[in-house]
Order: sequence, then structure tokens, then C-alpha cells
Amino acid sequence: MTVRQVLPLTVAMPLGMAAVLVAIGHHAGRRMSDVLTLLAAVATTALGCAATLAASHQRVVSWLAGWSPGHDGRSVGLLLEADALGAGIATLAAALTCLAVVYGWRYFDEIAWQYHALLLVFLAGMEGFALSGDLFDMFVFFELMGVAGYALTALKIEDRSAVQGSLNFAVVNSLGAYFSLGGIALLYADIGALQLPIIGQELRTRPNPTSFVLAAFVLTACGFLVKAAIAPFHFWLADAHAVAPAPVCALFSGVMVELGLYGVARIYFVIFDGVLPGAGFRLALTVLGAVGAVVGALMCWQQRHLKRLLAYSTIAHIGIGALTVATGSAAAVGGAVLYLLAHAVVKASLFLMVGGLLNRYRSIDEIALFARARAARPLAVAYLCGGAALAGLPPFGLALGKGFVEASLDTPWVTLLVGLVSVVTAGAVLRTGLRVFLGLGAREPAEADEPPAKEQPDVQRRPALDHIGLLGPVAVLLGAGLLLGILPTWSRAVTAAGAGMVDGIGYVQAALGNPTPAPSIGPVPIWRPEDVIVGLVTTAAAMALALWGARGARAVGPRRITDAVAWVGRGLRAAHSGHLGDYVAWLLAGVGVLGVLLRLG
Amino acid sequence: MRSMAYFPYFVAGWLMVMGAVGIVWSRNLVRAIVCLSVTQSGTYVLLLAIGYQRHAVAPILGAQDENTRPLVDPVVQAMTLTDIVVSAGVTALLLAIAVQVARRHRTTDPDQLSTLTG
Repeated sequence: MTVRQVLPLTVAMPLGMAAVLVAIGHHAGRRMSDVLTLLAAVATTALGCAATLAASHQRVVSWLAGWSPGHDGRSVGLLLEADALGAGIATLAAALTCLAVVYGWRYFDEIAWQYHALLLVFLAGMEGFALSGDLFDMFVFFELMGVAGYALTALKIEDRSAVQGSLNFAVVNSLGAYFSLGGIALLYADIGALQLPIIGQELRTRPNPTSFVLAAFVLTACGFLVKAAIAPFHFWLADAHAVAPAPVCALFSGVMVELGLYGVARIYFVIFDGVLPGAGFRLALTVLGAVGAVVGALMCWQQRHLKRLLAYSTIAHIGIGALTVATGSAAAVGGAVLYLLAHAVVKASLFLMVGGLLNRYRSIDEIALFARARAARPLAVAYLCGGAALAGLPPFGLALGKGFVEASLDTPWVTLLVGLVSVVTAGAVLRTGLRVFLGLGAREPAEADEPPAKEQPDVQRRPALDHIGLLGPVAVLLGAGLLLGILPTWSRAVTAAGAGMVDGIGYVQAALGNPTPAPSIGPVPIWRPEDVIVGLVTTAAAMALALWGARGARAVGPRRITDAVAWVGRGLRAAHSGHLGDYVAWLLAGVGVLGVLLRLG
Repeated sequence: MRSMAYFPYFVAGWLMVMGAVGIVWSRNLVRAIVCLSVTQSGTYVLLLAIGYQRHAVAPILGAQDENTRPLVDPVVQAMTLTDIVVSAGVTALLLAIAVQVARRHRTTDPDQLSTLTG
């Protein structure tokens, strides 16, 4: 078997097993379904590893059934193409699914084969989206991943908030997907091809970009930006994360959201880089990313629902990722990928821990959980480590990636923004950790008059918090976050994979039969003394903020300023209304803003 | 007659925008879901309009057809079919969730759903 044949298998493997589960699910017991799902996920991970290893030397191109382009450079064939980043994300998705299944072994009571089949279909969608080199296939896999995701979000179908969250998620994402399809149709009308490399090749031979191409980009990017939860397309994310079961949240925050940003970057660098004015793209993604980062951080701090808090932190971090991708600099994008990967594993581990708390103590509310998990020492250590990792504590990979981004961009305001987002989001996570695990601060703080956050637990009994089914996956994820910072081979490989993303021409040429080796990235991430110092300072600041928050966040400073901050916070919370119509209105406004910013640049 | 050639594109754009605006204004979840389908219908019209050629025949070729007449583009038709399948799946799932919302919340008015705010 050659590496070429591996690519279709990574999609077919989970999809095939999902079909098997649907066929025999009634007869297979719960454990049988668990084992079969785990087998498929492990096999997909192995295939993904093989593809990643091959793709890190040279892009792997697979024209399905041999329908490669002829002399005229045209084809109606379907293309799967893996560069190191695409294959790497596919592997990450499969590996996280393995952990989700292992974790689900103890986490769920009453799930049956339907859950397992949905999980595998979700995985197949992610694999296909990451590896596809064809716009229409990207749309189809996007929707496949979407539909499975909506159903997984509404898994607790009896829960009032679960159905509402799933509905918001489904409508906003589907609407984004249809706009994407509109954009894809426009590109097809213009070029007569659907494959990214062929469109990219053709558009680069045109003299001037037309408004038509710009409109096609805005529409196509819209769906992917919704998935990536870039402001103002992000509203669905907190709702979906707040209600989905913890292992599903880990997949959402760990890989699905990152896939959205990956999709935007993929179509931009392969098709539109050098076609649309680069300044417009930079401006648009920088503004939207920065707004998302600030809004996410401010919303994160105000939450007492633990999963919602983590969800807003994801929005903030992906915003940072977006504004880094916007620069188009290979080194910065490489750093951003290291940063987002380390963030993904740490965030996934935090979601799994919060799921453990929910099942044990029947609550997801920071204040209701006050001091209740004091006995769970190992989990407390893991939770606080996770929070500190988000703050940028060396030697976690987040700090290394962040330092590398800052070094390669060298823009003071980005450094400041990244620092602020890290401090505020990690401060919020640490605050909950201090309250729940250590019982620090006030038991009845000011915000206690709000109604507490509620969620149905997923089991009848109350599983212990020191069980290997919980601590194992958490340790693996946190360990991965740590190793990304410690092992130079890992951090170098991840950065190189990210940097390869920028090379759109290489992607085009590889698909057309002229493979080029991945470009070298030049500098590699190393621990500079200033990164270590900055990391320690942000961690200390986050800890101080957390202590201040746990004590009841008493206002300091002039009255006028604290009032203004409180007013902004209340306004933001009111904007995140949970109302479907509002979210769609924001989406439409976002499309307009995106178009205007692209034009302005 | 040339201006008529733009008409289907106008219809497609109109359907897509009006579907989305319809979701914003919906006071009923089922109506919102139907509006989503309207948006998607816009994409069908757009795709089919792109593949259309005047005086062309359907892209069905027999074994001994030495047909020199132009064909309409079969690729967009295949895309439209796929799109319809996707839409059927999404709409069915959404309606099922809407039924469940109606059971749990005793309403299908998005303004009355208040479990997820802030």
C-alpha cells in the first residue's frame, strides 16, 4: 500500500465502521460498540501518522481513481492532498477521538451505538475536510462534520438548554455553509473547476482581480469563519460548548474550531494569495481576530458556567490565531500552529476535567461547586496546571508558540494583546480552580444572586474523580502540551508544518504533478530568556487576577473607569443573547464587514 | 434579451438573502428552519443557472451518440443533487430538534427561549 492510498482510507475507515455500527448496533452491546469505535479511531490515527510522516517530506497527492489532470491542466477528478499540516490535523482529530472514546467509557451511562456512529461520522467529516483539495468536497465534509456535530450537541435530548444550543449551532453553521456553497458556485462559474490547485493556477494567470472574485472569497470564507468562531460569527460556539457532553466539547474546542481557521487559511493561500490584494486580507482577519480575542476574553471572565467559560476562552485564543495567520508570514503562521495545537490539547483536557466535576457533583456552576472538590488532589493539580499553561507558563508548548509568534512579528500591540488575552482567560480558569478545588475566596460572592448554571449529568451514579478513565486522558493531553514545549523535534516539526501552509504555489504545483519539497522555515522556535520571563510574568499576573476574582473581584481604581468596564461587560453579555435571529443578523453583518475590510485594504 | 440572462442570478441572490433575513425575523422555529431551506434553494438556482446554456440538451449520452449539440454542464447538476441530499438531512435533523424544543420549552418562539444567555 502506498501513502497515496492512505488518504482516502483515513476518511473511509471511520465512515465504514460507523456503517457497521449502524448495521449491528442493535445486537452489539455498549462495550462492543466502545471497542469497535476505539479500533476504528486508533486505525485512523495510525493512518494519519503515516500520512503526516510522508507529507512532512513531500506533499501527498491522490487523484481519486486516477482522474489526474491532462495536458490542458483540467480534470473533473476529486483530489485529496495532504501537506504536513493537513495530515497533522487529521491525525489530531483521530487521536482526540480515541481519547474521547476512552473517556466516554466511564463518563456515559445511557449511550448506545448511535453515539458511537455519530462520533465516527464526525471524525470522517473532519478527516475529509482536512485532506480535501476540492472546494465542493470541503463543503460536503463541512456539512457532514456539521450534522454529526449538531446531533452530538443535542445528545441530552431531554435537556432544555441542550436542544436550544444545538438548534443555534445548527442553523448558524448551516447558513454559513450555504453561503460558502454560493461562493464556491461563483468560483466555478468563473473558472470552471472545483479543485483548489486548478482554481489557484487559473486565477493567478488573470491580470486583475475582479469584484466577482472578491465576492466569491467573502462568501466562501464566511462558512469557514463561522466554524472558526471568529467574531462576529462566533455566537453559536459558547451555546454549543455549554450544552454538549464533555468529550464532544473536547473535540469541538480541540480540533473542529481550528479546522475552520485551517479552511480559511487553506483557500486563501492556495487560491487567493497574490490574487486579492494582500493588505485587505491582512486588515480583515486582523480586525476580526483582535475583536474576537478581546470579546472572548471579556466574556470568559464573566462566566460562572464552567464549560461556557472555557468556550469563550477558545474564542479568544482562536482570535489570536486568526490575526497571526493574517500576517501571512511563514514563521508567524508556524508559531501560531504550535500555539493553537498546544492550546487545543490543554483546552481539551480542561473540558474533560470539567465533565468529571459535573458527573461527580451534579453541577457545572463555579459557585455551587465552591470547595466541593477539595479531596480530588490529582485533578486539582491537573486543573491548575491546565490554567497555568493557558497563561503561558513555561515549559508548556503554548508559551513557546506564543514567544515564536511574537519574535517573528515583532509588533508591540500584538504582544500586548496576546499577553492580555492569556492573562484574562487563564485568570478566569484559575479563579474557578481556586474556588472549586481549594475553596479559596468568598463562598457567597456578589455574583451569587444570578441563577446558577445548570446541566444534566451524564451518569446516574457518581464516579470518583481519581479514576484512570478520567485522569488517563487528562494526563495524556496535558503531557502532550508539555512535550510540545520540551521536545525540540516536536516543536520544530509542528512549526515547519504550519509554515508549509503559506506556500500555496507549492500546493498547486504538487497537485499538477510537479512536487516541490516543503520550504525550510529558517528560524526554529527556541526558548529565549525573554520568553521565559514573559511566560512567568503572565502566569503570575493570571494567578493574581484569579485570586482577586475569587475574593469577589472588588473594584479597584477610579469609579468612572470601573463603571465603564462594568457597562461594557453587561452590554457584551446582553449581545450574547442565545437568540437565533440575533446570531443570524450578526452573521449577515459580518459578511458585510468582511467585504468592506477586504476592499479597504 | 441579454439582460434576461442575469435574471436567474438575481433570483438566486434574492432567495439567499431573503432566507437569511427571514430567519432574523422569525417568531417561530419551524418558520426559521423553512427560511434556511429557502436560502439553500437560492444555491440550487445559482448552480443550475451557472450550468445552463441556451439551446443545449440534457447531459445524457447514449453509447452511439455522436452528438455535436452542446450539453448543459453536468457537474453543477451533480452538485445540486448532492446539495439537495445534504439539505434533506439537515432539515430533518433541525425539525426533530425543533419538536424537542417545543416539548421541553412549551414554545417555538425564539424570543421565549431563555436558557442560554450571556
